[in-house]
Amino acid sequence: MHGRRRVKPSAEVEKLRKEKEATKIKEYNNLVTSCFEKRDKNEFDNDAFTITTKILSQNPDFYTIWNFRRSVLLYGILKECSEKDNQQTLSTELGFLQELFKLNPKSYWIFNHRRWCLEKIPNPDWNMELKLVGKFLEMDARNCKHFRIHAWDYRRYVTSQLSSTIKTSLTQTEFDFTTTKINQNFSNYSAWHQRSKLLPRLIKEQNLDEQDKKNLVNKEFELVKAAFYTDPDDQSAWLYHWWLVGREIQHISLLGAYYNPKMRQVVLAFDDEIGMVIPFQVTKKINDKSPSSYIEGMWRPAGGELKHDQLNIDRSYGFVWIFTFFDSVKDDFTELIVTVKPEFIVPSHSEIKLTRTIQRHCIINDDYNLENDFIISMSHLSVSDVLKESSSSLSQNPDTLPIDASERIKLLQREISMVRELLELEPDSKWCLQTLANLLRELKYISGTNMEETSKIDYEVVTICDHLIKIDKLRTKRFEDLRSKAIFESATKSLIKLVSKELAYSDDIEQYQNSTFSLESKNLTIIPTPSILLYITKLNLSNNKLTSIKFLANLIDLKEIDVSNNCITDISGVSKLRNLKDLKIQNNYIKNWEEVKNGFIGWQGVECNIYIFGNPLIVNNNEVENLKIGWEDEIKEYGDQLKIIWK
Amino acid sequence: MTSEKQTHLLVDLHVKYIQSLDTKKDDLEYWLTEHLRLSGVYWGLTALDLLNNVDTLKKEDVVKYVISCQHDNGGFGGHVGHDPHLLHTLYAVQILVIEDSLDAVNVDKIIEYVASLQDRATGAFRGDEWGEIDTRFSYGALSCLSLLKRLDAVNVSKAVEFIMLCKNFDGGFGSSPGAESHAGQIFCCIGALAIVNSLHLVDADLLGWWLCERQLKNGGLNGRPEKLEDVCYSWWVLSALSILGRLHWINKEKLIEFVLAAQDPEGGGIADRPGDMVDVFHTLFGIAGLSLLGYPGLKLVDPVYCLPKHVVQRIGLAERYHV
Repeated sequence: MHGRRRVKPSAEVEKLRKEKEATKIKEYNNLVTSCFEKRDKNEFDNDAFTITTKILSQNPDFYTIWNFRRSVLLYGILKECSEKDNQQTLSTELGFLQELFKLNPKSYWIFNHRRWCLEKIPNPDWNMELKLVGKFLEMDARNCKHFRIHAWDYRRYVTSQLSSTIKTSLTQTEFDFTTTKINQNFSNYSAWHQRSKLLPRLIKEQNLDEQDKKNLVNKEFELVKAAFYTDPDDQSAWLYHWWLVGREIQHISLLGAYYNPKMRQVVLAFDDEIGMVIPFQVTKKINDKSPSSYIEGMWRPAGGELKHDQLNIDRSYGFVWIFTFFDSVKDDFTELIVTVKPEFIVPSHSEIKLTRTIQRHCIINDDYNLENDFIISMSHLSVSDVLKESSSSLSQNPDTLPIDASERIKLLQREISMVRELLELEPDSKWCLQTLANLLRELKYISGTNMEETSKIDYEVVTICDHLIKIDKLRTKRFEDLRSKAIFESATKSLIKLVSKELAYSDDIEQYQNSTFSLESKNLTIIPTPSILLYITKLNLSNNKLTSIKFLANLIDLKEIDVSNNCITDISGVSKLRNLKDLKIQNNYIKNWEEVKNGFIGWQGVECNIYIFGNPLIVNNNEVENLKIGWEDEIKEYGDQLKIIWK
Repeated sequence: MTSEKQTHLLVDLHVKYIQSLDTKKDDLEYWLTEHLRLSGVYWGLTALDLLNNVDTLKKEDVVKYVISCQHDNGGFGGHVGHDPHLLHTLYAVQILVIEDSLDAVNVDKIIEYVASLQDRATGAFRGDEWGEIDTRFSYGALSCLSLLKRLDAVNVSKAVEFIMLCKNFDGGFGSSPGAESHAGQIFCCIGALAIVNSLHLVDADLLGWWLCERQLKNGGLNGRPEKLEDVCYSWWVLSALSILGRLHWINKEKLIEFVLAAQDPEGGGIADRPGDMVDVFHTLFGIAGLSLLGYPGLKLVDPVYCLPKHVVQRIGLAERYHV
C-alpha cells in the first residue's frame, strides 16, 4: 500500500464500510465471473468488451483482463473491419486509457496497453503522443514524481517510433529537451540520465571533428559547474560529472611468477582477485631444441578449491593461483613456461582488464637440492615474449565519452582546480569532497610514476576521507574502505615497482622476507591487494579495523601473523598456510567456538600457536577449561599441532 | 497510528497478520488484489520461514493452491484462472522449493514455458505471450531455471548480453536499454548476473556508491535519487549491496530503526514507511532486510534468490556464486 496512511476506524465505521462494500464485492465478482466465462468460451464480442471496461475502470492492475480485452479486440472487434473503423476503435481505446491514466497514474499496465494499441492502430499519431508525454512530465514538476520513470520510458519509446516514422534523428531535439528540463530544475536525475544516453549518440551522429567535440564536451562541463554552484549537494549533477570525466580501464598486472621444485608447483600472483575461466597453460621443454609440451596438473586459487557453477563454468577467484603437477609428470625438463591469455580470466569487476597475453618462463638446473623449500623466479621470455600492446581503444572505458588520453591529465587537473575552488566556498560539501578524492585517485592512476607526487595524493585522499567520515555518518564505512586503499597503497609502495602502468614486485623484494612487515595502527578496514604482501613471512596488522582475515589465504608463505585488536568475527583463510606458526588474533570479536574450529578444517600446517584471549568466547575460567577440552577433542583429526594460547 | 517508538521486531504480531490475510473476504480490497494472491503466498510464506514460523501455513493447502494456478503450457497465473506469467511462475517455483514439493508439478513443462519466453535474437525475456520485455523477466527466468537446475534450457550468454545493454552511467541498471537506474531493477540485474556467475561485468565500486547513497537521514532507503524512502528498498538496495560485498556501506543501526518504526504495533505487518497501511509485500521485504542486517532471532536470507538461506543450501545452490 504505497503511501496510504494507516487509520484505525471505529468499529461502527468499519461495519458501515463493510455493509457498503458487500454490494460492491458482489457486483465486482459477478463481473469477473461473467468475464471469465466469456473468455473460456472464446466469446470475443461487444458484451465481453464492455465487461472488461467495467472491471478495468475499477481495477487497472488486473492483467488477465487486459489480456482478454486485447483478445476481444484482435479476434472480435477489429477483425474483418475497414482500416477506417479500426482507426476509430483504437482512437477511442486511447481516449479510454487517457481517462484511466488520470485516475491511476501509477499503473504501468495502462502504458503497456497503450503501446499495444499504438502498434495495432493503422495510423498512429506519434506527435500527439509526444505532446501527451510532455504533459505527463509537466505534472512531474508539480510533484507527481511516482510515475516519472514511466513517463520518461514512454517518451523514449515514442521518440524512437516517431524518429523511424519520419526517418529523421531526434537526438538533437531530445538533447535540447533535457537541457530545458535541467535548466528548469538542476535536480532532475531522469533528465541527466537521458543526457548520458544522448550525448554519445549526438557525437556519433553529427560526425563532429575533434574541436567541435571538445567544445560540446566543454559546454557539458560548464552546465554541471552551473549546477554545482546552484546546489553543491545535489547528487544528480555530481554523478553525471563523474561519468563525464570518465575512467581509464586499469590493467591487471602479474606481480610475480614462481616455480617451487620441491612442491612441484607454479605460483602466480596477480594484483586483482581474478577468476580463471580457462586453465592457464603450463608447458615444458626437455631440451633447447625440443618443442614444448603441456604439463598435466591442477590449478586452484590459494586457500581454495576449484569449484564449478551450474553451467559447469569454473567460478573460483583468487589473487594468488597455484598449479600442482600431477604425480605422473616426470622431472625431465629444462625449461618451464606459463601462459595467461586475456580470455583465460575474468576480472573482479568491470573497471579492470587483462589487456595482453602474459608469458613467464624459467630454466631448470638439475643440481637443485630438493631438501629445502625454495622457489625459482619466472621471468619474461626474452625473445618470444608475446607482449602484444593493447590497442588504445581497449584502455578507454567503453561506457564513457571518448576523450583523448593525452588530454585526460589536463582535464583531470582542470576539474581538480574547479572542485578546489568550490570547496573554498563549501568546505563541508560531501559531494565536492568525494569528487575531489575520485579525481585525485584517477590522476594518480593515469599519471602515476612520480613517487613524490603519488605520496602527496595518497595523503590528501586520506585527509579527505577523514573529513567525509566526520560529515557523512551514514556512509562512514565506505569512506573507511577508501581511506584503507590509499593508506595501504602508500604503506606498501616499497614492495612493488611500476613498469609502463603495470605493477611488479620490486627488485629488492627479498630483503623483506625475513623481517616483520608492519601495517600496525593504520585504521585499515580492508586489505585491498593482499598479493602485494606475498613475500612477507612475518606480518603485523594489529590495531586496525579489519573484520575478516579471509585474505590471508593468498599469503602462502606466512609464518607469523598478528591481527590482534581488530574487529574480526571469524577465523578463515588460514587452514592452508602450511608454514604458519603464530596466529595472534587476541582481542577481536570472535563469538563462538564453531567459528574457530571451522577456520582450521583441513589444516595443512605443522605446529601453530593460536593466541585467542580477549575474544568474547571466553566468559570465565571454568568455561574456558571445558571449552578447551571439548574443542581440542574435536580438532584431533588435524593432529595435535594446534596450540591454543589463552593468556 | 501510534507515535511510540518501536524498538524490536513484533514477531508474534507479524505471524498473526500474515495468517489473517486470507480471512478478509468482506473487504473489497481482498477481491481487487486477487491477481496478487500467488505472489502474496510467496511473500507471506518466506516471511514466516524467516520468522521461524513456516508451519503457520499448512503445507498441503499451499502446495494444492500453487498446483491450481498452473496452466497447460507450464506457466503459472497470479491466481486460479488468471493468465500465466513469468513472474508468477517464479513465485510458484519459489514456494514449491520452500515447501520441498517440486515433484508435485510438471517441472519439464515449467522449463519449456520459461525457455519459450526468451527472445533468441536479443537474449531478453518476455513476461508472457503478449511480449513485454523487462530486466525483471531476465531475473525471473534465470532465477527460476537455476532453482530447477536447468539453466542450460536457455541461451545464458545472450541473456547476459541483454542485461548489460541496460547498464547506465551511474553503474546501475534499468528495465530496458536506455531506461533509468532503479534499485528494483538493479536487484534483478545483479541477482541474475550472480546466478550466471557474471558479476565481473559490474562496476562494483561505482554501483556500490550509488546504492549506499540511497540511505536518507531518517535511515530509510529510496529506490533512486530525489525519491522518498520506502521499506521495500531495504531489500532491493540491500540485497544488491550484499551481493557486491558492500553491505556495510550503509548505516545498519539507522536502517533497522527505520524498518522497525514502519511496523503496525496493533495489527502487525510492516508498511512502506512509518504510519502507513501495512501489506504483506512490505512485511516480507522489511523482514528480509532485517535478516540481511543480522537482526537477532531471524533466519538468514539468501540475497540472490530472496529465499531463506537454509532452503537454498538444501538444494545445493548456496555459495554457488562468487560474492
